[in-house]
Amino acid sequence: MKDMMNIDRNELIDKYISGEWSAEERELFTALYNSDTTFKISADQRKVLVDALQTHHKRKELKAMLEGFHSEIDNHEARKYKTKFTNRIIRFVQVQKHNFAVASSVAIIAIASTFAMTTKYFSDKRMGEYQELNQEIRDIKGYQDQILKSLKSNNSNKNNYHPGKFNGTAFAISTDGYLVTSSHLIRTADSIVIQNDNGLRLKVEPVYKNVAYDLAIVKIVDENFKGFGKLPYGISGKEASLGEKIFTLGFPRADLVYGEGSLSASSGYMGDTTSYQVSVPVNPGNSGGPLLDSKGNLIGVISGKQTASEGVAFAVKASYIQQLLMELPELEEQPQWIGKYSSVNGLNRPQQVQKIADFVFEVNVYND
Amino acid sequence: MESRIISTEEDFLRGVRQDDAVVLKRLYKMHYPMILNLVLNNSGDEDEAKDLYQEGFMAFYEQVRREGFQLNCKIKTYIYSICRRLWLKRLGEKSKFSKKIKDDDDFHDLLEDEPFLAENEIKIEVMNMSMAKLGEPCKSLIEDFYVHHMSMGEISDKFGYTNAENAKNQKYKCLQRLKKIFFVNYNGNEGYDEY
Repeated sequence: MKDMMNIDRNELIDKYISGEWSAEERELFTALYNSDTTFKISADQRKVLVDALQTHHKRKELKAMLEGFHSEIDNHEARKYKTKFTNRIIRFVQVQKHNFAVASSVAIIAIASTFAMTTKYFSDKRMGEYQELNQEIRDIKGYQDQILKSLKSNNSNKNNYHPGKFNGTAFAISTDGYLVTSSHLIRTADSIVIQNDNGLRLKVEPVYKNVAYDLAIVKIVDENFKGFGKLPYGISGKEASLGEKIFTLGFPRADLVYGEGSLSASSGYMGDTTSYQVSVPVNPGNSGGPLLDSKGNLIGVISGKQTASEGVAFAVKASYIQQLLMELPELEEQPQWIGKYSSVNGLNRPQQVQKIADFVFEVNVYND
Repeated sequence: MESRIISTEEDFLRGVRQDDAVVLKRLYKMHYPMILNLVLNNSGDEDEAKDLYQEGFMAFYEQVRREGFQLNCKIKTYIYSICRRLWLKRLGEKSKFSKKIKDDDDFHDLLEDEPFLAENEIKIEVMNMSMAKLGEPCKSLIEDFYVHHMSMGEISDKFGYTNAENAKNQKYKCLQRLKKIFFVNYNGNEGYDEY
């Protein structure tokens, strides 16, 4: 080893900071650091100083970059920021306008916030309860087996079992792998897999959701996925008429199930104007399924049903899908979104269903 | 246009750690409306919102890249919480009143991160001040060596010293000055003399 008195200790500290040093230098540094308090303090202080200097410099660069990002922001658009909470109030105020024409807005907001805080208040028998249609499967036996197993083995890793599995429906909204489903299905999502009636099984990830509309956008992230063909259904954005014949496809069980009926009301549960009331038989698992008219136009997304009476289901209006697409955060790609026109107009129903079935998926959500 | 899917929280965090400009830009643009809303709702204006957001975003960036850092909430919530914390401080500096914030978004208590955030703030503030005080040529010399990693030979050529040994002595003196200015303000003592 070199004579300890003849080395440049100052330079040695710089080498320690840059990390570019030889094994010999490192050894020497460690020896000095552990034996000489003054050297130790000196090295520690220089580390703090150089860290601060580098952070200071990095901030200057970062600040310049952020200024660049900021110049692309449209402040007018940015001011439209709406939270879940304000969305809910606005929606409720709109609903109430129809019911009490002369109510003061203060009272409405008071009611709205009560509604937001306690939905129990409204779940009185006359109204019937609203039920979201996710299907929760608890495989009790499997669960018990897991517990027994984990008791037997010392390694009881909690993350290894999935006690809950939620099912619902999703359908394609772009040719390149974006789908729409109900946001209530994926609120606790950990892992989402979709599967259509042909057995095509793909992994998806959430992209965006708006709980006020109960809608979510998910994207296929499976590398084997090469894109859908042209979507058979279109979205006109026009409000559908009362009495119109409608149908839906969904996965209340492992097979694709067709259901038909008519549009019963232009507002949903408790006068909610973002939804339609429809007379289609729906069951847990139907949530997130497409609601189509006889021409194959997408008019809504199945969201729930009233528990007290049979044949009363609700669907979020399709115009809120368009709204959702507008709210999407900037994507790095330009998806080919759903078009205006249906290509199954004029076909008979079995033909329509056959064409659409490929674009409707069962959603399996596994959460820890 | 780059077509890359960044959709999970993990994708975003990885991007920040790797200093990925595409990811940083998307995060920046995505969350600005939330902070604008926070500031406008709590007696601030658009300029203050931008200033606060950039400050908060840089703190977020530094936190994510800090060794041993673990995110215990959503990125959105974390950015909101950091900016909220900063806005509370600024409101406190502005007036003795109105220390209550009206929140439209969820926030996370930053108890675990507080020591790091506070330390980092002081460090940056003191270094800004110290570098401003240091003056030229010391400022450039120090930055060239510790930030741009130039060799003593290159520095000697750039500043016109007769040789690298002279440059090294000059750098040493500059470092001593910076150290004095910095540590007096950082923790109240001048630090030990260098060898």
